[in-house]
Amino acid sequence: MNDFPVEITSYRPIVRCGRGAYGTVWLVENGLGHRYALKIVEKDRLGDFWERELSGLKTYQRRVDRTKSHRNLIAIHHVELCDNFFYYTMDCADDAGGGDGYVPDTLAERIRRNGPLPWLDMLEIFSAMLEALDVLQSVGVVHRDIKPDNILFVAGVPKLGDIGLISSLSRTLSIIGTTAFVPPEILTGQKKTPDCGCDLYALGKTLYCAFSGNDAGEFPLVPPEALRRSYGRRFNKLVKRCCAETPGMRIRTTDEFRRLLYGRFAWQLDWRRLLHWTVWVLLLPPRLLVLGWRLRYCRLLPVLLFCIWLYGMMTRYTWLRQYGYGYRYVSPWHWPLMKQSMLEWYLPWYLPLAGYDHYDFIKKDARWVKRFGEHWWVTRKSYLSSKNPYIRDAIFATIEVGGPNEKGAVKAVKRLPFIAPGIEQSTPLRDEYLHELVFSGLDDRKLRADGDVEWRDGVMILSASRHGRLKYAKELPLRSDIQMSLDTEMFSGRIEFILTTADYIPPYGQKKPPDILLKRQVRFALNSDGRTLTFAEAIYRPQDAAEEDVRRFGAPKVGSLPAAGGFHRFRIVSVTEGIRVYCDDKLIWGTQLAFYGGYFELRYSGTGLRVGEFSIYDAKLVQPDETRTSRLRIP
Amino acid sequence: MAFTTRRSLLFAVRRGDEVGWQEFYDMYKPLILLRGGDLRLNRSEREELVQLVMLAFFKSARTFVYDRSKGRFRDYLKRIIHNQACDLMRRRRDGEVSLESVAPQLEELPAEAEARWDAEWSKTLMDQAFEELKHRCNPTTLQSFDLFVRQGLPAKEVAQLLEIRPNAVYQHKARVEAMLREIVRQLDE
Repeated sequence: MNDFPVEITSYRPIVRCGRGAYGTVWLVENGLGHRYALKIVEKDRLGDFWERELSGLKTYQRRVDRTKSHRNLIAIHHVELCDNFFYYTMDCADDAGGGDGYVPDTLAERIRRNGPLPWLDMLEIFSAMLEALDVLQSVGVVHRDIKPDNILFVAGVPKLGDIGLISSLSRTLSIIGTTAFVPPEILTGQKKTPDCGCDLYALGKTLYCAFSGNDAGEFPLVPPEALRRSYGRRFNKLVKRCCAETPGMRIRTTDEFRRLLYGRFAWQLDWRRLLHWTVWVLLLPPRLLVLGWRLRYCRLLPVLLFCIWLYGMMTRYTWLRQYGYGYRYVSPWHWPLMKQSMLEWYLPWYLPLAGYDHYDFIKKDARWVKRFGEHWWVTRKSYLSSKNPYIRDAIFATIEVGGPNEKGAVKAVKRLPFIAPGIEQSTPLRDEYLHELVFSGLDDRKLRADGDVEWRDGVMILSASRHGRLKYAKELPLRSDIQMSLDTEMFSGRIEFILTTADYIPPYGQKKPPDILLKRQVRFALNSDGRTLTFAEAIYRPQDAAEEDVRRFGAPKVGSLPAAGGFHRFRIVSVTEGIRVYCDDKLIWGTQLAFYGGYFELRYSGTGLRVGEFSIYDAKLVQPDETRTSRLRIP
Repeated sequence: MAFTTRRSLLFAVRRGDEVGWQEFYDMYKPLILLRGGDLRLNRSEREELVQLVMLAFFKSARTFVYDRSKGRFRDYLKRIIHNQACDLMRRRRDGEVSLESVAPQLEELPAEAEARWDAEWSKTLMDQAFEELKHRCNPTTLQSFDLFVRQGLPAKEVAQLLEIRPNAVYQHKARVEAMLREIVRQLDE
């Protein structure tokens, strides 16, 4: 206290806060008990430099303090000139010392005590400093001494202090300020006139100190802990931009600094706006409760909230699924997808798909097993496997399944890659399939034959032709069992069983109904010479496939079949395990390609073909404990 | 700015730049204290030696023009320290002889003292070189080198922290090592 000049009578000294190159700073109290920081600048000690300090003060008072008082700039309250010194009072920083004496609460003090600051604190402090710099720039002055020691907290508000070095932009000055915070071109004398870039450089170095906990002289070294979080890496990039060695590479405006400081949170530039909306959202439920009470509908309010929550959950998951899997053209209101989302969400362990076959879909990464019927949507990226031993080794494909009759369904975009079947001769049909009759008869309009048809004793006789055809005009069920009786003893020529599916691909990004058809075809052909039936060929042909892309199956192991004996009963079973052809309940050919629905036709070339019976069944899967109804019969 | 023996920076020192003085003081004070200990000065004399050397160096630096033919800066500094130490001992009052007593000639110093000097000089040199590197090198390159080489983090982790490719970490290492070699060579000549 003895050092406090006796000439200053208006203020009572409390403690000396610090001593620097430009003077001494005291914590003082006036007659009303208000506390200030009082800085004494001794003329003798500083030589001519005191005039510079005084000039800076005058500039600040004239341009900033009177006209553009700002909450993030320190306020000057009183300036007085004495014989040997002059002094001025300003806002004093909060006490960070606790009970151990007054320690000014500065950014440097916080870094010294706590190390790197939390990122939210940094956003608050540096956005405040940027606002302060904006004010200084708007009146054409530069601070020239920004550093952690000069960022003070007054009543918790960060303020830019120590305005003694403030000067106008046009003045040419020698090197002043703390060297680590001064740009190198100023230090080396290449540049004489300070500008706003110098302040941004210093602010960048200050940010470096704050986020890394290092001294400014250690730039650009950063401890790895400071870079582990994303904001640390963002600050690191910002600091490197601010403090680049070449002036042309640096950030030039406060706006640019602000944008990089906030990164993806740039929309929250105004901290108060963010706070406002946060509080608004937090207060929304109690507000709604109060509103509901006032409107006397408080009983309905929980229901309303539950509905909002439910809709949010449903649409959120729906959207997530869509964007995750690329279905961008489906509305969030798309009920099947919402329904599925809900089922998947709440019943991930079991879906009671009575009446449908199921696969085990194993998601690629998550090993996430679910059961789906084929009319359910599955992801395009799903890898398909099955517990069924007959197809387990064969199907490993990228597929997408959609029901043919489901509105807006997305069907196979990527076909199952063909894998040569290793089907066993004795593969039976699954017991779980029940067969519901869909069509039976020969004279129905659904069954159409090319060329002349004769009828004799209830048998349809197709005339001899090179391109004869018998087509079932309607679409097949998803899983179908096509049964017919053909008289191969009286036939000499070639018979082809053809299954065709048509997959719809809607144009990308459009909701309109699909207009592109992608056909796939499986064709199984037999030759008959009236005595034996022999395998001719079996092919799989995608639409527009070149001849070399047509996949040809090898000959089945069954060898030749006796054609003698009149009518033979042929069955073409297309189920989810694959396609199989039976002759007199004996498996003669099979593939593991799965077709869903589609069309069937019988082609022949040769003598007249006698067809004794034609029927189509819908092969349905039932759960073992399901009660069978009388409509179903096992063929 | 770090003080080094590079010619351009010696100009800055001759100007009496506060920056150069402080950096010089921080950088060479351990060396001067070490040499003072080898010359058997007591603690207070060593502190005084630091001040004397600093004054002598900057006094002579005003008229000093660096000439490479005169030898290396390390020898020049060593000679100044020794001269100042001798002056210090000469100024001792008659009869006031320290227990550590008479300073030996430079040639009489034990080999361990020279080894210590060399080791300390190398450390100082590396510090200076690294400081110089900060001005020559891209900050990202330097950070990569620091994390990978000095702190021993795996290259993949460094790449993640700095958001660069792992291959770039190895490139930065090679680049910085070459620059360091060059800077050390320049400083030591």
